[in-house]
Parts: sequence; C-alpha cells; structure tokens
Amino acid sequence: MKTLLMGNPNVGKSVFFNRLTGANIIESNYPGTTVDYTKGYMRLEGKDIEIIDVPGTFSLEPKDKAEEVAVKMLHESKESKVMCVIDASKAERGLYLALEIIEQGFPVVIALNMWDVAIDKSIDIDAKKLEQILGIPVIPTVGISGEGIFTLASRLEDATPIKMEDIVKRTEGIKHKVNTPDERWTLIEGISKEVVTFGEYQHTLKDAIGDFTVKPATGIPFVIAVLYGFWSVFGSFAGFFTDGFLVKIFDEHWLPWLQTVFPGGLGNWFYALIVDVGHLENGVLAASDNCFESFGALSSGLFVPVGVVLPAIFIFYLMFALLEDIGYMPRLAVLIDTVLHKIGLHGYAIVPSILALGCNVPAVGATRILETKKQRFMMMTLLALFIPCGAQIGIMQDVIPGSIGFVMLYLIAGYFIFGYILNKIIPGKTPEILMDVPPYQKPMSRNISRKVWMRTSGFLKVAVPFVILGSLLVNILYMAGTIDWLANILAPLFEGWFGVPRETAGPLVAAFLRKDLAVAQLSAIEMTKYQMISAVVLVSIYFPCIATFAMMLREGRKAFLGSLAVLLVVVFTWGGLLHLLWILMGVV
Amino acid sequence: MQKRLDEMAYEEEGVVAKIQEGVRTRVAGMGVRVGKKIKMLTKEPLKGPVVVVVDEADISLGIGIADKIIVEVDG
Repeated sequence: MKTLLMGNPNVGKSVFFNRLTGANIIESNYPGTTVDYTKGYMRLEGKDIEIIDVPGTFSLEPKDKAEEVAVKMLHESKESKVMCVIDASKAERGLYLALEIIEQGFPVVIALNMWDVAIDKSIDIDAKKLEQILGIPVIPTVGISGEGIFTLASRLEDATPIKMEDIVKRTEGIKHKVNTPDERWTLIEGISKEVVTFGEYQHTLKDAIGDFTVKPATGIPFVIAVLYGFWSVFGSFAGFFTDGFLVKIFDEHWLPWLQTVFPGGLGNWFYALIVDVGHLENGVLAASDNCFESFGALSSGLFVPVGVVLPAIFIFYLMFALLEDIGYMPRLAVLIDTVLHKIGLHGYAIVPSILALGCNVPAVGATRILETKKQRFMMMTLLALFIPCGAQIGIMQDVIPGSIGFVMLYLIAGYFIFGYILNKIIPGKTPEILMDVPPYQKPMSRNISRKVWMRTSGFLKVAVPFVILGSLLVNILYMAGTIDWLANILAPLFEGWFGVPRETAGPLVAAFLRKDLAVAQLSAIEMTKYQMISAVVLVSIYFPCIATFAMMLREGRKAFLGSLAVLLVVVFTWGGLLHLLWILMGVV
Repeated sequence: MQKRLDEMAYEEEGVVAKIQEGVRTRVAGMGVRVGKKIKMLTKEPLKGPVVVVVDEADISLGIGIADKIIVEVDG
C-alpha cells in the first residue's frame, strides 16, 4: 500500500516524513522546501508501507512546478491513501485541499498539525466532531514533538473513500452540491462553524516583530542590517579559523611532514602529483612553503576543501539554517519582490539565489518553486553564471581579501543587467507573487544542527574527492604539456580580450571541476591585482562546475542549451567589459 | 464603499466583495474568497506586493493580483 503525504506548503509534511520513516530530509520554515517528491518506508504492524512526501500545494489547480509535481503524483497514484496534513491554526485552508482530494475519491486521513500553535492562538477544534462530519480519521498532532503521529498512522486503515453528498448531509445548514471553489468554501465555512471556536487572539511580540520586518519603512533597513551581519560573521568566522589555525597547521606541519616522509622528492613526477610540484628559483627547482603553491593532491587537494572552504561553508549553512527556521526567508522575498519583479523574476527567486551562495547544485533544484518556464530558465542561468558558491567565496576571502567586495558587486551587477536583458528577450509574462508569510518560529537546535551537518557533510563528500581529482588532472595536463599548449592557443583571447595572463588556462580547466580549486591555483600565478580580479570573475562566470552542469541538464535539454548560449555571450561581454574598465581607469 | 485591494490604506479592514475571474481560483486555495474579512498589513513601495491578513494568516499578493480584488470597506 502506498501513502501520499499531502498538504499546504509549510505545514510540516517533511517533519512527518522524517518521523514516520526515520529519514533525514530538510525541513524549513518556509513554503517550498520540498520541490521534488521523496520516498521512504514506514513499518506498521509488520508491513512495509511506502510513504511519499509530496511538495506542498494549496489546491489541485497547480500554480508552480512544485505544485504540478504534487498534482501529478496524486493522479498517478490512484490506488493510494492520502495523509493530509493541515495547519490547525489555519484549518479552513487545509480543509479546502483535503476536500478536493476527497472529491477525487481518495481515502484520506487528516492530521491537525501544529496543534500547539493553534492552542497558542486560542483556536479550538473539535476533532471528534470533524471526524464525524467528514467520515474519516482526524487526529491532532504536533509534528516537531511527534505527538499523535503514530496514532494517525495506525488509523490509516480506517480511511475509506467518502462521497461529498454525505459530508454535505452531515453539515448543518448546507444543502447545495459542491462543484465550484465558492461552493467548496461555503461548505468549509459550514463545517468550520460547527467544529472550530476562535478565542480572543492576543497579538504577541512575535507578531509585532513579524510586522516590523515586513513593513518597508522598517523592513528594508532591517534587510540591510541582516545581510551586513551575515557577511561580517561569515568573514570573521572563516578568517579566524582559516588564518588563525588551519593555514598554520597545513603550511607548518602537514606540508613539511609530507615533504619529508613521501618518497621521491622534488622533480619526481609522482611526488609532484601527490605532494609538491615545486617552483623555479633562479633556475633551480625549489620546494614550496605553502599549500597554495604546492599543487599536490594531498597538499593543496586537502588544504583547499578542508583548510579554507570548510569553515566558510559551515558558518554559511549555520546562518542560513537560522534564517530559514526562524522564518525570515518569506519576508525577505516580499521585500525584494519589487526589485526582482522588474527583471522578470519573483521575490521567491531570493531563495535559490541565496541557496546558490552555498552551493549552486541544490539551488538549481530550488528554481522549481518559480512559476513559469521562463522564470525557471532565467533563474537557473543567472545563478549558474553570477552567483559564486560558498566554496569559491571562502577561498576568495583568503586569496583576494581586499578585492572580494568589488568582485561580488560586479557579479551582482551582471545578475541584474543580464536578468533585465533576458527578461526582454524571452517571451512570456511575469506572474505575480502569491504566497504565504508564515509566523516566526523559535528555531529548534536539533533541526538546525542536523541541517548544518547534512549540508556540510554533503559538501565534504563531493568537494574532497573532486578537488583531489582536479589537482591530479590539472597536474597531469601540465606535465603532458596540454595546458601550455592550450595557454598558447588561447593567448590572444586571454591577453588581448580578457587581459589576464595566458597561464590562467590551467585554473580555468580546474574550474570546470571545482571553482575553489581554480581560485587557489590562480593565487600561484604572477599577476597584478586587477588581472587577478578579472581572472576570479572569469572563473565565476565561465562554465559552472561539473556538478551544477549535471543538475542543469536534469532540468531539460532545451533549457540547458539555452543557458549555454547565454553563458558564451556573458563570458565574452562581461569578462571583456572588465578589461575595458581597467583600460579606461589606466591600470593596465 | 468599494475599492481595489491595492488601494486600501495601512491597517484598513474590509470584506472581499468581488474577485475577477481567473484570479479567483488562484487565491481560493489560500483562503481569499468573496465574503471574507481582509486586513491590509502593508504595501511595498514602487508597485511592490501587498501583505494582507486573512484568518490571522499573512499572505503576500503581487499588485497585479491585488488590483483584481474588490473590497467593501467602511466609510
């Protein structure tokens, strides 16, 4: 037997899913955390029951890709039962979806979730009475503490298809049939009158802060403060651990140790691949004294992901998880909608955009919360091009600490300018924002730590092997002379058009595997501050890393090819423009 | 007196009187329907979205949706 977990966005379906299956999927306090379905198994009375966490939807008339997935799932699972999760403090809305599902003939059980929040709001629901009227099991639950969830699961077997006429008959004062949304609402209001009692609602401090942070006069300065705070904490935390400890450990202990114990020694090809390629000093090959220049798979290959990027990724995900779980993201989306709407996007585009600052891969997936094909294409292209990932930002802070602000600004400008152009070129209209702004919540430390752990370990699992692989590959290409050959062929383009040294070819090959590795390798090339800025910008806007590439391909071949075409134009214009800017400023 | 949702003043309350076809099904799932009490919480500048309160829940609507909803207000 299959069971679909359905409900409005942000009612805690993923919490249910984790509780029922023992799985670990991401939960957040904003709609659209689940954009794709997730499968799991629950053991109930000796039987395995398949459970599917379906993206949240307000109705069965989908308005974005995630909701389309939800409706499609339902239609493809004719034989399954539905566990409908309702936010008890907004029960009428949840009942709207529940009734639509019942109308389609599915056996449904209802969880009146966030029961504790409803109590806080002095809302009382007579679950027994509701069960009587609907003719299906209705259980009050508190997802985050687990209350009621297993009672609900054990009552799945009591769920049977119900005829709408019967519900209408059992509801006082309702006589008509239910066909249109308005008739459905009249029925819900009839049901609500019998089972829900609203007490006197006391506005709390939480509501006051909620209002304060969404009203423009106070909300906009608050956004600026939040972003500034985010950036400062990010910079100082990462700097503290990287420069204060990890650089010393790697350069003063790890590298010298490797250099003494590893067989071969300078000049040996295998030693060069694994430990240190060395560099020429007055025509003599000399050992490197730091992990940025040694290029070895076990020296640079470990130093980049663990020594430099790990602290940055960790603090980024910690702060992001806090913002997510408190529920700030929807307010940010509302405040920024005005600006993003002008370039054809949507306030909600801020979620994939910020997510991309951590890693572009999940961000590409998150573009599904946007409504139209056009928006999803634009978002995917813009973030792959203009949003540097956390790994790259982390290493930029170490390699170009003084110029990082300029690089970020130049990329953000590109995001808006090319967004504006794409919006004009691509046909299709921009849909209006329509979303729920959930109340603030106290973040649960267990959820935060689990999320940070999952994302950070996810980073390490991908980054360490890829950086090591990348170091090896680039070293081999150097030894085989391929990079020099490439550098010479591309020299007119690099030196003439982009204004960077031809040696940049090597890091750009590495950039295809890992952007952080590429920036680290740039630091070993002799160049001016301005050339360095150009090179770092090139690393960002030129091909996304291979993992992002694969993810983009999953979103459809046509969109992928379109993105590639935009990418080529952007690399040439936006990369060349920076060179022009330097020429005009007289710094080259 | 009737006015468009986006014309409502801050903190003004009213009852939804009319919703244009096309928008009606889109907002229905979020609880916005004819006869429902609605309160304007805030409006973002430069034709940004509005934030309204329906059933003690905050909902944000783009101006292109808000201007298709007519509200009956007092006075």
